[in-house]
Amino acid sequence: MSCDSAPFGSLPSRLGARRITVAYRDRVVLDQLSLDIPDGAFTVIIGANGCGKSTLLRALARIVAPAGGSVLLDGAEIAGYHTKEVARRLGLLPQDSVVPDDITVFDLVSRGRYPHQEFLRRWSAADDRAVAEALAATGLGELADRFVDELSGGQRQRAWISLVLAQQTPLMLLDEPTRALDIAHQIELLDLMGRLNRDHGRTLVAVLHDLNQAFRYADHLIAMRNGAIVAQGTPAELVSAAFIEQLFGLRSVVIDDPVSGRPLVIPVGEAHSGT
Amino acid sequence: MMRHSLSVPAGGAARGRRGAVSAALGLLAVALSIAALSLLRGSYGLSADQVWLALNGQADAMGHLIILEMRLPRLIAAVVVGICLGVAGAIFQGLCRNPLASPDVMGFTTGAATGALAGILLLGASGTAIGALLGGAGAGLLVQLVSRGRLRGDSFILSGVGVTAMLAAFNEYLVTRVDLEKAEMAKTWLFGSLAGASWSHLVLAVPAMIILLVAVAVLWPRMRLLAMGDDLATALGLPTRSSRLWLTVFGICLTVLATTLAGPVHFLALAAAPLARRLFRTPDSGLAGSAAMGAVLMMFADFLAQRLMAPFQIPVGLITGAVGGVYLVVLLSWSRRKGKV
Ligand SMILES: Nc1ncnc2c1ncn2[C@@H]1O[C@H](COP(=O)(O)OP(=O)(O)O)[C@@H](O)[C@H]1O
Ligand SMILES: [Mg+2]
Repeated sequence: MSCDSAPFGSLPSRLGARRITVAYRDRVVLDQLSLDIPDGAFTVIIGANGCGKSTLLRALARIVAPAGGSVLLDGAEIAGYHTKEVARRLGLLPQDSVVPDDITVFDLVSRGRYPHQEFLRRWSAADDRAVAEALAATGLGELADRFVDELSGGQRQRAWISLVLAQQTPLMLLDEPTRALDIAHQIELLDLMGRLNRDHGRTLVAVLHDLNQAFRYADHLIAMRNGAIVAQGTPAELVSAAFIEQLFGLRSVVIDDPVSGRPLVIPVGEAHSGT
Repeated sequence: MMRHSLSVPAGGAARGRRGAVSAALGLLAVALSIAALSLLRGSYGLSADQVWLALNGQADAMGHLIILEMRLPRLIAAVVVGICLGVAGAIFQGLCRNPLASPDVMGFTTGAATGALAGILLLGASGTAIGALLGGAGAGLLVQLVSRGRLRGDSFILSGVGVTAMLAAFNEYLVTRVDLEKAEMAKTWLFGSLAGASWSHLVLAVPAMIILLVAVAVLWPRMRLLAMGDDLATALGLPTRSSRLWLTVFGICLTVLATTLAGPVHFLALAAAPLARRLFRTPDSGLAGSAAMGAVLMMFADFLAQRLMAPFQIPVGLITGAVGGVYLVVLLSWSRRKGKV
């Protein structure tokens, strides 16, 4: 597998959108949106509920076909690829996936190997290795034989991530991977994603809700509002109180995070504001 | 660890697998007992020796007739119907991700029955099969139309429920429209019965069933992906639309086959897959387990249908209907315990 991890900054891009318009029936959600996902970077998408973050990921992963414009994968229109070929280059963890009844962690994760299997040669040593590596990366090796519905929420979320890891795609799109996790598990998962990005050269795109976590972990930040990208760049370049106000209509104070030096947003709100 | 099976790897749970093996052996023992009882017991008394001789082709004319021409084909027909309905139920429950989905709830059984009825009334008994096939296909198109092509989730089920109600009423109407003799035949058929099973039906039905089962087995890995949601299945490279379409088509064909042999048999398709899943507790039992469970349930139901009020025979459809009511109550209490209702 090749993961050309070109240094971030020169902005080469394997995945991008060119003026895509995406609509559900007659409701237009994304209107002529363009973007490039920087290779080898950890990109985080932020924006208010319903602004189209999930729709953008679904369009990039060819779950929905844009009504206009095109998504480019490795320089060619994604619509022209064989479905399994897309799935060998690009993995997506959707916002809502269903745990099938009575399934073990190993079985769930092994389903991520589907794009690498063929009609008659369905399970290979490479598949075994990929699943074992994915389980080791998320620390689930010990739990491989457990039933998924017996796991804690955090362990289950790690099982889903393992499935996408086992897919061994150079590009990974994750829709709210930290939802339903407690704070310790959120950080654990974000650290894992950081390692995947740094040590394994995976290009990551994640939708995150916690702004401070987004600023802390993102190399590249994409801010969306009403189906459009309003700003993108490094957190240090973008984040200010005015930016938060514009994006979420929220008054806040932005200081330097004492741990990372990244921006830290403190909402003002009504109570205890002392003004 | 042996993980290189033909399909996708067997799940890793060692304890689950050991449990599944003993469950399979237990189910096999139950199946063989029911099969033996079905061959031994009947309104015409035959000893075990006579049955054995008949199976080896050495019995007198009477033993030959009773065992080889009546009880054995009926038993095999029960197995075929059970397998078809068990697998069809597993397909529709998988597509809808809902344990209440099944071909009889969703209109396909009733559609096949409508077609078969029309066939019987127009052409006599020989019109059953072609009528059932056209009726099943018609019901499929109707459901597809009503659910606006979304062969998934609750809208698929609800469209089917609507179509079932319409077609059931139409079936009643058909029966009232014909002369008494044909109406009697049609009515008996509408209750579901295996009394007419014969080798001439089975030589066509068994190969048809095998072809359909192979087709479904080839598509089953896709079902395992669809079970996780359409977005993830698509992201893993599955053409979800065509997968759903083909699984639906084969599910309807299996239902039509069962209905042709036995008339409309209710609830069996609903119960087989969840019971199998509870017994085996591995997702890979989905197909084989549902088939086996369907066969055992149908053999048992038909045994009861023959023996419960002997020498009178009850239509097997009434037995499955009555037992199905009990099953729904049990299903409800299971899902309550799991906190799903
Ligand atoms: N399957 C769908 N059908 C119709 N409308 C949808 C569907 N999915 C999302 N939408 C609508 O599209 C808009 C954007 O949704 P989404 O991309 O999920 O936003 P986000 O992920 O940013 O919260 C919302 O207004 C939502 O109601
Ligand atoms: Mg979303």
